[in-house]
Amino acid sequence: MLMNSGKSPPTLTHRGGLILLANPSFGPPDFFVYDDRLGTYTAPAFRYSDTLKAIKGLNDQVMADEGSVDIGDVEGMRSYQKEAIRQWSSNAYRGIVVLPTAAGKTHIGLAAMSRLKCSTLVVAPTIELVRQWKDRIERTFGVKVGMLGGGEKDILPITVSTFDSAYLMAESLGNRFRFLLVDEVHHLASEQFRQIALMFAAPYRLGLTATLERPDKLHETLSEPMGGKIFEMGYEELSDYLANFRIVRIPVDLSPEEQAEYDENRRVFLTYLRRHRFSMRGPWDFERFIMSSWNPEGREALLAWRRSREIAFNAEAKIDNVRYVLSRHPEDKTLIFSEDTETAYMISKEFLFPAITYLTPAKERKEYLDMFRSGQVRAISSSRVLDEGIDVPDASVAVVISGSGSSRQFRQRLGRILRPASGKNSTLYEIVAKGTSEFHTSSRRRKGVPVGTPDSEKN
Amino acid sequence: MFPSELLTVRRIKGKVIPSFLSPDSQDYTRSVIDLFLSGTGKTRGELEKEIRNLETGFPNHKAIRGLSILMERKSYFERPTKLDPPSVRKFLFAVAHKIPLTPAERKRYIDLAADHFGSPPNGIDAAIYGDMDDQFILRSTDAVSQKLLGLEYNRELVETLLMKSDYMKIRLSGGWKNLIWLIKREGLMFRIESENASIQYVIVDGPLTVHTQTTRYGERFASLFRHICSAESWSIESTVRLKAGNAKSQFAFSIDSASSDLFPSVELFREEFPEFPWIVSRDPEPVVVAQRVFYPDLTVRIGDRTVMIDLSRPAYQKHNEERDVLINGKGIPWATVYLLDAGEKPVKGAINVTIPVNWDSLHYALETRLPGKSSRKEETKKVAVEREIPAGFADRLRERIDALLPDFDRISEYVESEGYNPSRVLPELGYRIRWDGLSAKVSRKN
Repeated sequence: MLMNSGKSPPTLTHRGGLILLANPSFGPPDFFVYDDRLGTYTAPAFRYSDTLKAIKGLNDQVMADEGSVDIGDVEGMRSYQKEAIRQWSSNAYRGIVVLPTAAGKTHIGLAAMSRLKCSTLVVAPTIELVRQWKDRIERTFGVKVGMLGGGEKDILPITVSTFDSAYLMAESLGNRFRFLLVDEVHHLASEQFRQIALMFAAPYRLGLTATLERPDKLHETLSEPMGGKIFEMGYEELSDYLANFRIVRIPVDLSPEEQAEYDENRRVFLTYLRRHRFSMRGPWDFERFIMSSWNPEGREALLAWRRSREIAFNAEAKIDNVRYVLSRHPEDKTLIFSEDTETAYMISKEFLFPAITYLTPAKERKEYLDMFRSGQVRAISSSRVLDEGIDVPDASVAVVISGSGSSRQFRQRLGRILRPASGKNSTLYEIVAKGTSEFHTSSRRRKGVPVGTPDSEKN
Repeated sequence: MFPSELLTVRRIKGKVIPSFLSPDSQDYTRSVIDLFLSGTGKTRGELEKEIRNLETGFPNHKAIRGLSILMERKSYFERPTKLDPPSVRKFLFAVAHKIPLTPAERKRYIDLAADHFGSPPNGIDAAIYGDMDDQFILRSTDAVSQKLLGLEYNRELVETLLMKSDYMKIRLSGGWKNLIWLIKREGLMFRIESENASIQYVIVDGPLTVHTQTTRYGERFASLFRHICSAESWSIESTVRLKAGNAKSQFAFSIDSASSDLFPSVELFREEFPEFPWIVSRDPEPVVVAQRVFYPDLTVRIGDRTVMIDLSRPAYQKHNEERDVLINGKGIPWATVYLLDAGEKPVKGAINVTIPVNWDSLHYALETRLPGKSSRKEETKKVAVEREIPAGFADRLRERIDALLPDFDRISEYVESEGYNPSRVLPELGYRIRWDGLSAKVSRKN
């Protein structure tokens, strides 16, 4: 602990995502740097709580918020949710909780808010999730919640924001919230969004995710600003709390024309790989291939790869199988996932139910989700925007028409149908083009998912 | 600026050189211009396929994509249907509660919609997603020469590269004033290196740069480029962070006025700095005190006084306070005005104005708040009560006040910083002040 014996007390203020320390008297903590342009010591704002601990008699002018907010308590916590909150509290109200989709992470976030009862910024990756948080907080605590993102800019003591808006406004809002609650916190590890964690002064922090680990290992950079992983449980440990589910893979044949075009494009792609001695053992190799595609030959190979993928993803027979699945589940709420927006719209036009993609205006997205919740529409097709977090309590069927090889994406899509309900049995169908690389992609993404099932027949 | 994936550069021994289009690259510009000029009546989706085909025919396919983006900005697209697609969708999704699994079932719903909207069935099919970008039809494209399109491409390429930069070192033959004004307006930080009271160069970065390597400010650096390259003589040095293999690496980037012919010549430098009778000079001489050189932004005449003004940012407060004491101590009339972003906390006791600057309010604040004017406090109060809000400014005041609701202290601070009396102006703008003991809350009158 540093003591200040001078007449002017050391003064801490916030500007532009930094904390500024004036009159430190003794050497300030190591994380401060003297900026001679400003004539003062500065540190990234997330060092605020460390500074309070390190310097006694500090004239603290950092926070410009309401202080406390008047919200009630959260009831109905499951045992593991209570344990997560206990661990987080004993870690000075900082840390990351890792739980599978549908295990009630939002409930933990609400409990954390009620524990702290202070100004709070909730950050989530998509506008749907942001709106969902807003609704949940308003319903749970009966308070008005501000919103940043999707064209809205309304800042209140409790505010929800997209990652993009929080990043853009970190300089001006960095001292307006004491509690930073980040949903799908693995996104925060990207070089850009990490600055949200660095530039907000919030002394209390909670990250929520189903899939913390990233292939690029950047999640490790969250330890310092967010407080590290403090609680984790997997599907197996939570089976009592999740809906029963099964995964069914439906292999489909390409038409002869599709097969011929697929084979030709695949040949162009593979010939290029062989000629340039590329081997595809992982994402880095593929990135190396993309980087090499600046020359016309590489470009041709890249386009051939894309075309072959399109053929597999959009095989005509897949539409018939979607029709088949829909006929098998005439009363069940169904989510149809594709990798690209074009397919999502094609499905929507064919079967006359809504598509939700990143292009769907916010007002329409909300209308469609409300229609789905109320049962007015029974299915929604989507590209990747519904992969994460959207709370669709009674969806019990998912159809994956196309997707990446990412196990994270697959588990997130599965999670959409696992929210528990009485007597609920969920099914995820994967429709995969036989004899194409999509088959290997499908096997890759299933790794780590608790139920391994053989290919299924239509019966 | 292009999306960063369209950046094309050569990397040579730690340096990066943008792949500019030269006058010899006219086949690129000609092909893209032709594609758009002959594309009238086609959908954006169809044009997109043609662009993709065109890309395969050129070694630098990213240049084709970049040029297409520029041409798109010069083109006018129209929706293909007179119906309102969201209404058509809403109707169809609501009536098709039982999902159509056969063509006949689907046709029944489409026919229902056709009756409802008074359109033929194929019109309904076209309207379902008729508001999607790829369905829009190209109606016309502005004329542009091949040369100008190539120059615009080059400029955007540099801007795209600068988005990846973490600092810029700028030399200019003149016109510093406006550039520094832009730097301040963007909330960037800068250090002036001078010799004999003449600016040699300016180093620009951001507040966070001393703590972490960041490209956070890159977009703001990029926005300065078109101002810099319109000067007679200029240079930029920078480092950019680009992907190299699995990680990002730093590369040196430099460019100067020897390349000016690669960019369009635009005279932009005075557009942001207005002229007023009370502004004596927009390019005042620097001040030398204790062997240090200080650069005021403006010289203003307030009553019978001439005062040098520094337009600064709140982050510089500590530095400015020391500097102002030093300069004022030598009897030189000098004052600092702080530029605030929307919602930013004003500097206590100082003159604060919000960006974009309302010059009338700044003039008023200078008249009433300049150092040495405290004896006119009573007079100031009277003026504040009687002063009218300029036409068009009330909406901006409201916008800021709304962002600060219900915090009376912060709203008062802001209203005062704009030179108004809060207790008069707030009710006039449609707000109510509710007192509870010693604290107050502001709300909108219903």
